[in-house]
Amino acid sequence: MNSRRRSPDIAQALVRVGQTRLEYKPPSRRVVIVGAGIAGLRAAERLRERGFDGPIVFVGEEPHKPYNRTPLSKAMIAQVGRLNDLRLPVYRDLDAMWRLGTRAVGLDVARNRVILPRGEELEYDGVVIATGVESRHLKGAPIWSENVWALRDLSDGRGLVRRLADNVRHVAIVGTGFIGCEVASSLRKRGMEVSVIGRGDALMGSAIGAKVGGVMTRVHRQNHVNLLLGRNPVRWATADSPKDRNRPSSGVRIWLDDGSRVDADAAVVAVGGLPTTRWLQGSGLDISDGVLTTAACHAVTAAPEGGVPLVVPSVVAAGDVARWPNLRIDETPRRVEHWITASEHGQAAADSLLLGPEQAPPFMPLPRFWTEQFGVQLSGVGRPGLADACRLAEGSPRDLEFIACYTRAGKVIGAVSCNASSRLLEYADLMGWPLEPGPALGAGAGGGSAAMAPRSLAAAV
Amino acid sequence: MGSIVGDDGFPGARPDGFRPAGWAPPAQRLPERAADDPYLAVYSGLAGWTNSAGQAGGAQLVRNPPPPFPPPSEPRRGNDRPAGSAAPLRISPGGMAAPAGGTGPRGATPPGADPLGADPLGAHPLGAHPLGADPLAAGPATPSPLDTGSFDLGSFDTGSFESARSDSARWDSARWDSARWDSAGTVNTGPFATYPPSTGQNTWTVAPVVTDTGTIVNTGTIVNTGPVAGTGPIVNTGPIAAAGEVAPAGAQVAAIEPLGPATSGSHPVIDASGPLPVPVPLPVSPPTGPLDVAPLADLGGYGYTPIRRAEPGPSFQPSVRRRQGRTPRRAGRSVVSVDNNKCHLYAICQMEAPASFLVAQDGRLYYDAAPPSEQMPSVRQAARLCPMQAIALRTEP
Ligand SMILES: Cc1cc2nc3c(=O)[nH]c(=O)nc-3n(C[C@H](O)[C@H](O)[C@H](O)COP(=O)(O)OP(=O)(O)OC[C@H]3O[C@@H](n4cnc5c(N)ncnc54)[C@H](O)[C@@H]3O)c2cc1C
Ligand code: SF4
Repeated sequence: MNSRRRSPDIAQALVRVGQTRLEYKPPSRRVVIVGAGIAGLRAAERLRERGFDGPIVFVGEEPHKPYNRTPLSKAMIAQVGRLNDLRLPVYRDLDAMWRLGTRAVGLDVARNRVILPRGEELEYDGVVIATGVESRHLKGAPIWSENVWALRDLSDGRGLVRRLADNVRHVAIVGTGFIGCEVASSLRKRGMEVSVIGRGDALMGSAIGAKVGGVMTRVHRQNHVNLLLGRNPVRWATADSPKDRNRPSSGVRIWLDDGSRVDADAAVVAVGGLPTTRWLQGSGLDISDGVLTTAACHAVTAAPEGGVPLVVPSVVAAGDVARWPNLRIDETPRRVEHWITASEHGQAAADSLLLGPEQAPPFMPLPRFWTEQFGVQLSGVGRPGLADACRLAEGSPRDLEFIACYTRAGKVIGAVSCNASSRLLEYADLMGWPLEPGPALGAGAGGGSAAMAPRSLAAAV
Repeated sequence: MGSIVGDDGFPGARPDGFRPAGWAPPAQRLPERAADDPYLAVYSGLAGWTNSAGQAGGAQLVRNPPPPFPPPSEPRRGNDRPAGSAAPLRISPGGMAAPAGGTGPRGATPPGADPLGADPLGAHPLGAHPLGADPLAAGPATPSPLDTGSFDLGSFDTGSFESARSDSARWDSARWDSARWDSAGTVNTGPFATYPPSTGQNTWTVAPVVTDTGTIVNTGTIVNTGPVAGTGPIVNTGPIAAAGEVAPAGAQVAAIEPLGPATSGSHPVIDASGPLPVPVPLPVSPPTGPLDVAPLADLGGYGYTPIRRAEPGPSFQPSVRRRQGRTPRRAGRSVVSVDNNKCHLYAICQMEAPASFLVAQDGRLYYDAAPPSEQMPSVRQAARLCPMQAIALRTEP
C-alpha cells in the first residue's frame, strides 16, 4: 500500500517541474483566418487536429459561420431540401473566436497584423487567406435591381429565391458556366421558362471542353432551355430602372448583340468569379489573379524592381483565392474553383503554416468536381479545361453514360464521367500517363477512327 | 439492434417460437415465389433465396437457382424510362410541359415531393436501395452539438446587417426554418429529364487504354450494362429526336395519363412486356474487394437485422494489477451512416476511404457501418468531402 504513495521529495520535484514548464511554456501563437468559408473552416479544423492550441480567430464578412455553398445553385434554387442541409460537419472542437460580419481591410505583413474596419488591428503569428472569389460583374448589368441577381452567397440565394417566388415565370441566365447551367436546371425543374445567354458555343465549354459541353448542350436543349449561345448582352433595362424609355413594365429586358431582345421576369448573372484580393492591395503580396503562393501554400511577395519574390512563412492562402502550382499537373500557378479542392487546400495550408516553408510538402491534389443537371451527373478529375484533345474512353454519349478522357500533349490531364462516376476512379489513376491514340471524340469526321467517333456527338454540337 | 424476424414475419421472434395471442402473419409479406416479382426479390436482397418452407425470404435460407431474369438491357443507372414507354406529360403553371420521365439517381426527389416525379427505376417502393439501408436514419433528426460532428451555423436568423441587398429582400425566418424550400406556387417539383428514345440496343465501345509500358489497362468488361461489343461501330445511329416545339396546352391535357403513386404495388411506367432493367442480383458471398468486413450493409428490406462487424469482446480485462484511479475514458466507437436520399454515388468517398466505402458495379454504395478506428481519419475525410454531404458519423457512447 505504502509503495504507491510518493515520497515528499518526489512530490516537490514534480511540482517544480510543473512550474518550470509553465514558466518556459512556448508563447501561445495566434492564427487569424480571413474568410470564413470552407477553406478557412478546414484549415482551422486541421490546426486543431495537429494539436495547435493557440487562439484561432475567424474574420468573416458574411454574418454566418461557414456553410456549404454548393447547394445554393442546386437544391436551394430548386427548392428541395432545407436550410439545415447547408451545415458542414466538423470533427474537432474548433474553440475559435468568430469575428463575423467583419471585413478585413488590409494586411500588414511586416508587422504581422490584419487590419479590420475602424482602425482595429489584429496581431497574428500565422494568417490563412481564404477569402474566396466574388461574382464577376458584367459590365452594364443592373445588378442593383431587384430583378437581376448574382449568386455567390447565402444572401444572394435567399434574395433570388424570394424574388422567384413572386410570380416569376421566365428567367434569363447570363453565363454558361457550372453555376449558370445548374441554375437553369433547377429552375426548369420548377417549371419556369429559362433562357441562357452565353458567349461560347457549348455549355460549360471552358471547363469540360466543347465535346462534353456539346452533350450537355443537347441535354439542356431537350429539356426546353432556350439557349441563346454565341451572344452577349449589350443593354439592359429593368422595371425599376430610374429612367429608361424602353423600360419593361415588369422584370428585366436584355438586348443582345445580334439585335434580339430577351424579356424576362428576372435575370441571373453567373459570369464567373474574381478573387477577393482587393483588401490585400498594398500588402506587398503578389495578388495578380489571386494570391500567388508556393507549391506549399505560402504566400509570395510581388517581386520588387530587379529583386526576387520572397516567400512569407507566416502567410498561407487556400481555396478559390489562391493561385498555386499544382505539381501534379505542371508548374504554372493557377486558381482552382472547386469545393473539394478548397477543403483539401485549407487542410494543406494549415499543415504548411505549422511546418514552415522548408519542410512543408507541396500541395498536389487531384482536382475533383461534380455537377448535376437535369438528372445527368457529371463528375470530373484533373483539369479538363487545359486539355488539347478529348477522347471517348468508354460508354456512349447517346445514352448519356460515358467517360471522356482529356489529354494535353498526349498525356492524360483529366477525365469527365457522365452518369458513371464510379468508373471514373480508374481514370484518376491514369493522370499524367500517355494515352495511346484511341477514338478522338468527334475529331475528324471521317477516317479510321470514325467508326468509334459517335455520330451522335457530331450531331449534338 | 434489429429484431429477429420469424418465418412468419413476426418481429422479435424467440427461439421457443413464442407468439402473442392474436398475432397473425401479415398478409402477403413477400410474393409466393421470389421469381414472381423480380423487383421485390432483387431489391429486398432475397432474389433466388427461399427458406426451408419454400417461401421466399425468411430466416433460414437455402440457395435456389436464381430466377430467370430478363437480361438487363439498359446500361443507364436509373436515369431513364425503359425503352418504348410513353412519357406522360405534366403541366406546369408556366405553361411549359415536359415529359415526366426519369430523374436523377435514386432519391433525388424529396420525400414530400410530387410522387409523379419519382423515378420508377431509381426510387424503389421499399425505400431507396435497401442494401444501403440506413439503420440510423430513424434516429432523432435534432441537430447534434459540435462533438457529434455537426456544426452550428450560428446567426442565420439575426442577419439583418447581411448586406444592402437583404434589407430589401428580408427573409421570413419562421417560414424558412420550419418549412421546406417548396413554396406553394411551385407545382412541378419533380425533376424531369428527356433523353433521346433508346431502342434498347446499347453498344459500349471500350477503347483500350494502353499505357507507356504497353500494358492494357482498361479493357475490363462492364458488368451490368448489357452486351459490350468490343470496338465495333456504334449500332444505334438513328436520328436524335430534336427538341420539338412545346405543344399547345390543349394537346398536353389530352396526353395526361393518370399515374398511381410510385409506391403502389405495380410500377406505373414499367412496361412488363419489354426487357426489365433489373439490376444484377447481389453477390451473396462477401466480395473479395478491399473491404475487410463481411457484408457491409444490411441485407433485406423487411425488418432486417443489420449485419455488422462482430462486437469485439471486452478488450480490457480487469485484473488485480489494474491501475489505481478512474478507468480511462475510451473513445466511443464511431457509427457511419449514409443518407440514401442524398447520396448521388459520386464515389468521392471511395476515393478517400477505399477500405470503408465501395460503389459497386451494381450501382450501390456499400459501406462499413462501424469502421475500425484506424480507418476513422479517412472515413472522416470522406464525410467532409462528400459532395452531397450524405455521410453522417455518430459516436456511440
Ligand atoms: C452557387 C455555387 C455553386 C457551386 N457549386 C459547386 C459545385 O457543384 N462543385 C464544386 O466543386 N464547386 C462548386 N462551387 C464552388 C465552391 O463553392 C467554391 O470552390 C468554394 O466555396 C471555395 O471555398 P473558399 O473557402 O475558398 O471560398 P468561399 O467559400 O467563397 O469563402 C470565402 C469567404 O470569405 C469571405 N470574405 C471575402 N472577403 C473577405 C474579407 N475581406 N474579409 C473577411 N471575409 C471575407 C466571404 O464572405 C466568404 O464567406 C460553387 C460555388 C457557388 C457560389
Ligand atoms: S461521396 Fe457521398 S454522394 Fe458520393 S458516393 Fe459517397 S456518400 Fe454517395
